[in-house]
Amino acid sequence: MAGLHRFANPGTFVRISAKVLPWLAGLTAILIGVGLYQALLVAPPEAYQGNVARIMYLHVPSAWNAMMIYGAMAVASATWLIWKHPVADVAAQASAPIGAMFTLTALLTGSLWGKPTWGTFWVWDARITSVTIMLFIYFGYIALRAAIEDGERSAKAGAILALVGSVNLPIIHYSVVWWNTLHQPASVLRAGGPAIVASMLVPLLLLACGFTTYYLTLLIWRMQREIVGRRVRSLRVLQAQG
Amino acid sequence: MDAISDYLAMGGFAAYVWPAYVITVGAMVGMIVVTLRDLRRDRKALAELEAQNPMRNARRAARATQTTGIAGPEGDDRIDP
Repeated sequence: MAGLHRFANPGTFVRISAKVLPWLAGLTAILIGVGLYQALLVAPPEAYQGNVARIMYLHVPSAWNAMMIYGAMAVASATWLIWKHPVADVAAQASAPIGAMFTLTALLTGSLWGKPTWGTFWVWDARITSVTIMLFIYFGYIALRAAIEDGERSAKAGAILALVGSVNLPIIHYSVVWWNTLHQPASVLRAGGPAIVASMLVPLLLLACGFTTYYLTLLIWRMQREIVGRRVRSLRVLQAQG
Repeated sequence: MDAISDYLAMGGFAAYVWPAYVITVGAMVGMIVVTLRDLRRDRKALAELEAQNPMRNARRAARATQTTGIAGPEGDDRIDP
């Protein structure tokens, strides 16, 4: 464990992340740039839905990443609860707003896709309801962390909420199987391989990967910000005490 | 010109496709802008605080925040007990 403990040191994190950051940011720009070009100009209109299906290239990567980021937040929370590595807590806290943003864009793009195809912006079906619950868990986590001033208590409460909320992840994934729903079942992550043509699969995967490297890039910036912010707050407290 | 306006019309779905792209890309860019602005502001505040009393502040802050707080000059503090 001695080797792993090196990464619990914020100084080590700050040094390594600074080296990785430009590569991640560059990769993100390329993946999203090429992905958007392919999604809007190269991919053909979908056979049944036409051009409105181009919303898929943002909706699906947003939804995948919203769930992946929640998973990352839960793992970071468990890591903090077990080993009390401050960097793990910083990672969990820095992930929440990014995950909330992707949950929100998944819901909004889904709504804009649903109106012309289903005839409604919103329906309380299993998939949409379970994703909305995830959005509220993200909001709850952010509010909880902001409400508790004491660092250790805030980290503990947040970690427990994040772990309890993770039971929602399999519910979201299987919601289209377990319940009757308007939402279509998985076409990419399914047994038997993706049921989608290559010209549409390529931009989808480019944007899905681009959103993930975007998350990692923004995560590093938000973690750096959180580390600096905590130092500023503790120095101010010390100064107030004289 | 017709080809461009045809394209922008998105087969009659312009009112759904373009807002979806504007909202998603706008949110992603906006979050980067806000994060970098906050990071720059906090780095400036930290530099000012450390300039006021560099060594004493750094050491005391490192001691004061053992498990969740993060303190001290970059790289020279081990937070693990």
